[in-house]
Amino acid sequence: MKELKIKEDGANFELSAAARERLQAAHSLERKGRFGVGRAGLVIGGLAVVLAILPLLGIAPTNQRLIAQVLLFAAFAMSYDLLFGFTGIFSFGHALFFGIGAYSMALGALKFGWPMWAGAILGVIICAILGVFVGFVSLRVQGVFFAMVTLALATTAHSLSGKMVDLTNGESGLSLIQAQDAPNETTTYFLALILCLLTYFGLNRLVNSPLGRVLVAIRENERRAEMIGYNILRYKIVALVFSAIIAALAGMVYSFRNGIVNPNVLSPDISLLPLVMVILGGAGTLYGAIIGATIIQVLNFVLSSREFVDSVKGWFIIGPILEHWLLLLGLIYVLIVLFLPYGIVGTWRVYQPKLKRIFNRTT
Amino acid sequence: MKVAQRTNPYAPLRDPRLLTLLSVVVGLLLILLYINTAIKFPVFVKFLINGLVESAVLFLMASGLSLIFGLMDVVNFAHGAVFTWGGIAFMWSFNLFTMPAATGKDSSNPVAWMQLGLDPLPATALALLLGLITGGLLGAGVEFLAIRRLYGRPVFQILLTLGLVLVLDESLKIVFSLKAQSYDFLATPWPTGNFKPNSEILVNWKSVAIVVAGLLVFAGVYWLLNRTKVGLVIRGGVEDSQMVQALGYNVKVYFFWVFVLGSVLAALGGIAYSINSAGGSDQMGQLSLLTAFVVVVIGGLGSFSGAAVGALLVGIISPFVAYHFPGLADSFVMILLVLVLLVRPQGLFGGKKY
Repeated sequence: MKELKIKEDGANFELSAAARERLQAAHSLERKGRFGVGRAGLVIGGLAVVLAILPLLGIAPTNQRLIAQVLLFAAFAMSYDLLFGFTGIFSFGHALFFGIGAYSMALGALKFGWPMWAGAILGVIICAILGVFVGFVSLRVQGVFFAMVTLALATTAHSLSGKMVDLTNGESGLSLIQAQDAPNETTTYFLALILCLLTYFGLNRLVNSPLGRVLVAIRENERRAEMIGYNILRYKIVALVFSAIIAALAGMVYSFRNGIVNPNVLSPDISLLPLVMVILGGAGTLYGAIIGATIIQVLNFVLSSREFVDSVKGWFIIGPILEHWLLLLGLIYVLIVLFLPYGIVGTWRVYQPKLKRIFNRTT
Repeated sequence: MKVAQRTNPYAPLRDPRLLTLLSVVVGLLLILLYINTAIKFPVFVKFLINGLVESAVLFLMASGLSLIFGLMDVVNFAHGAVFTWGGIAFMWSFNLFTMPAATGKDSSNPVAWMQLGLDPLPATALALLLGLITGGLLGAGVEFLAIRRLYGRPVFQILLTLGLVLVLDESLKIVFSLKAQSYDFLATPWPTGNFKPNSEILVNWKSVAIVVAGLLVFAGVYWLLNRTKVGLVIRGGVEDSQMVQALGYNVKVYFFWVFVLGSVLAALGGIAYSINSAGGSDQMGQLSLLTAFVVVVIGGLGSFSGAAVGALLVGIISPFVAYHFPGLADSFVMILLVLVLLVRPQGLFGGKKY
């Protein structure tokens, strides 16, 4: 074990045994595993390698599209987790960044004739600026009110995207297929994979950095964090900007995958999805968001497929419920909020020590 | 020792009575100028009437929300779903009641007994009752099964009621077997016809009925909250529920009934909305909910008359905004919300700080 020292004003302090122990505990919290990524990081890296090999082995196009969808929504959900799970900001309008990112890129490519990457950079810049603006305007109000202001902004953007027909083609949307350099299915798949990986490892680094610790402190007790001397508005805006940038990138990959950008990318459903995924997986545990996104998207895919809907048609009462995907999603969601408020990963973390104790006792 | 008193030469200008008088005069002058330049008088009156009706519908929705959200601090996103349920249940049962009695194959339908072939007036009354009961039952169910466990935990309330929105909206489609997004009356509900106070102005009786309903609800709930013992217990329970509990009142039961009352008012709002726009859609609740939230926040949380003033403000201004700036019609309310939250986060009449 490396020798632990506290550096303060350039001088090294000798520590008491108890303090050394505590400091070691704190360090072990921060640096998980050999590569600073922890067990979950290794599992995710391994999965990513498998997913990267899959297209080379040959994979059905529908499955490839499904995996791309899962990956990009996992990135989107993780960006939401940074806000909701780590900073305690409760946003209802995350589709704002998702949609504006997609729209900026599509407009850059189709209206100005830019290459795709230039449009993507434009989208990221616009969303970062938008994040700062939204933060300044609405983070002054807290809790429910912030949620409502973001909801209001997203709804406004949604209705505007349908109304400004000259710019956005209204409901029919902008077709990315017309663009010369739109990535094909396999490229989109890899883009989604890279985005998801970068998001996971980047955010993992971020939330374990001093900045991330301040964000968690803000979540735990905002007033105390302010009293210690942190400018919480500034920290919250930083979190919002990071989250907005990732959401914008996810929106771009989403529009590549669909080949079209229409007002749906700004709809309230898109705002709701990452929330559900984060709650299902467990707030404040990045990989929980990945688990939630996988479960929700795979369930959606399976339950709204034609074979499934046909097969359950005649069932009494359960049939109509299973036929309506949104109803089922709502039911699952309500049950989770009522009975598993910490999500899958959170509940696991609560019960893991108890299980371990029981296991140790029996063996 | 004599304290030096400096007389402020501007003191008379700070007199609130004078200021009110001045602002009223200036406002009237501006409206006169507006009528004489930008808009014709009959159009102005038409918009004013439309605005009044709209604010009455909005108020019906916002009054329930003001009770649930403003008074009890429960963030209820399912309010919009109850609104839709009330409106659709009203339209559906009204359509059935006015239908001629079922014969042959149709009579095996489980709802065939509802086809009574009634006149519009009794059919409207019965359907109104049914719609209100639907709203009340939904509210009771939501409170009993879910909200009851979550008082004082706003984040979980939001999460839960968002899920309930999905459940209620989808089950609405199953229960009333909605195929299309919109739903229409097959006959015209009761307050039919119109009258003309002026050769150029036309007022529908249904508009009058809706405005009267809004006024009655305002008077009724205001009386209930401020002039009765029940209202006293509710307001006390919101302030300090443990204290009121210690005095021997079962606060939970009171909260339950307030929640049910709020849901009934939401259903009434849905019914008024469907009568006013002669039809509805499965999305009408969600669209109105946001506006109603804005109204409650503008008026100030916990202030019932604030909700009424907010509804009047939003309802009356929006037709004029839609006329002069058609592009802003949808976003006007949101802009208003952002402005109010930035300038006066506690709302116009709210005493609490947020």
